[in-house]
Amino acid sequence: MKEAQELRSGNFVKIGNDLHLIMNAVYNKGGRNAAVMKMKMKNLTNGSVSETVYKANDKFNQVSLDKKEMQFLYEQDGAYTFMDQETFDQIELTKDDLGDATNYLKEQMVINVSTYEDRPVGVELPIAVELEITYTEPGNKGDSSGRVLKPATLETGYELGVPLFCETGEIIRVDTRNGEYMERVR
Amino acid sequence: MVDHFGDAGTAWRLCRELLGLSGKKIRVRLFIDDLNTLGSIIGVSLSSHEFREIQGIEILPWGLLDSDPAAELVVEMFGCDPPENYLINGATDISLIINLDYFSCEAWAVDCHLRESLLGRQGLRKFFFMPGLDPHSGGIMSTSRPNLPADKRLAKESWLKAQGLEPDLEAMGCILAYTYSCEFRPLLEYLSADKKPWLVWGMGNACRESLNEICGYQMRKTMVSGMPAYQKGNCTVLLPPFYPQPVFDALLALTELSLVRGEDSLCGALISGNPFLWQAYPQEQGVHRPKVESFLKSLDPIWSSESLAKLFRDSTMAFNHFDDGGPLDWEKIIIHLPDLRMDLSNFADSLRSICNLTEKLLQFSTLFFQGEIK
Repeated sequence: MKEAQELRSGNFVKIGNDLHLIMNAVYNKGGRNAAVMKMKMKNLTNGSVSETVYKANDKFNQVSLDKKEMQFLYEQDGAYTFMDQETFDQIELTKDDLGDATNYLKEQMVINVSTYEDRPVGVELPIAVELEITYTEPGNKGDSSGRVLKPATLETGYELGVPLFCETGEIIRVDTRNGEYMERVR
Repeated sequence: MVDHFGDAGTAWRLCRELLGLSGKKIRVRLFIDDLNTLGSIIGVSLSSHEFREIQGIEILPWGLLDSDPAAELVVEMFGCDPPENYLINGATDISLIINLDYFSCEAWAVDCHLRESLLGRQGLRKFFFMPGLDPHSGGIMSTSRPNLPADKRLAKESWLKAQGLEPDLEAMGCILAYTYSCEFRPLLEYLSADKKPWLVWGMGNACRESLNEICGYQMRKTMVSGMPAYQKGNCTVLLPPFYPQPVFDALLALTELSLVRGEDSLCGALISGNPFLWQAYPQEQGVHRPKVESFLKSLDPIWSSESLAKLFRDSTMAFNHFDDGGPLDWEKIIIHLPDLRMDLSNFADSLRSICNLTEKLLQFSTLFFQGEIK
């Protein structure tokens, strides 16, 4: 069993008899309010997508699906094409299948694709990915604290807050569990 | 389930409003683990073992929930979890669980309002209900609070009489102080020297202790209508006994200024339309700051001038001990009470009409039981 707050995009859980893909998971806690997890989930049995909310300590049956190592080739018109590293077969996943994972996918990236009843249903992200900053306002080299953030756009189009010392063209490590900046790589 | 006067008071208020707004067509049971606190709020003595029906509401100790026949609609408040047995035994009877959270104006809370948790079982479905000030949030409870009096002077006189107090106290400006922690000295000094006579009502243990400490040092101890009080210049500080919920609500509606805390008294102050300052429940490392900031942001559109908005914003930040609020300027606040009242009373009218929590909850439940919630 896993608590809601431990789940993240790309995980699978079983609720009743239905298997659900977590497409997006956001932790929220403010003041005295109970911590809650807002999750966008896709029911793989009937294909419906729901925006749902749980207490952070709600318990889920997490399910591990079969995985295949595949390389992300390209995206076209919302279809994401992956290639099996052993058979070289190509498969497609939609933006809905991938959820927040599209924020971190870059071409040539090798990643685990989960399959359910022999059909690909989602991807399992590594905890951290390295991505290039394609645009951010010029940095302030004097500020090394990292406490103050400025907006930055990454090569996947994802936007996040980075410390003032980060520059365009630099590679940073991003935490896929919460979408936040972890550290500068080079 | 609850361990604070605010939580117990909010639960009791919801029961009263559910019963009242439904025209007493529904049966309301309140399971609670702190009957003493609830008893103080209702103004009766409640024993921890017995079943009581008060004002049409059945009150039961939390421990009995396990063996109680399940209800069609269950409202969980403040993160309490009904016992597993209750849910298992009631799986065929319970149709809807509402998880009623604390008040918040934060965007995420509004976004979570009426979102479903898929962790229901069999036919049971569970939804999150988030109180707040946004029309798309769950709103705040207003039905059980007194209407704005047409003649405040008469209403004040009548309230004072009902509490056995001298009606001529009506002529004094009324400030209700119900805070977590507040540096009262500058306020009391200002009021003492003001031209107008002021009566400060010290409510709640923390607030009374703080007032006792300051007043005992600086002011003359006296009695007003049989109640302990302190007096200096034009300022009298009164330390009344604990007031049951309706008495407290009525006082809140009659003040010139309320200094409130937590959730229930904040909602009362908002609905009264009277000027107020609010202290959020303080948490370590300023975790409560976004709650205060989002509250202030949600009030931004109500102000008729930027200077009034700034006064309220700065005063609220300072009242919550955030450094960027600067020192509290009590003189400025007192001078601008009529302006603050004008804007806040307009806002109170709008809250009553479009942000009534219990109405929203009943509307949602009705739609649910009519099969309209897919």
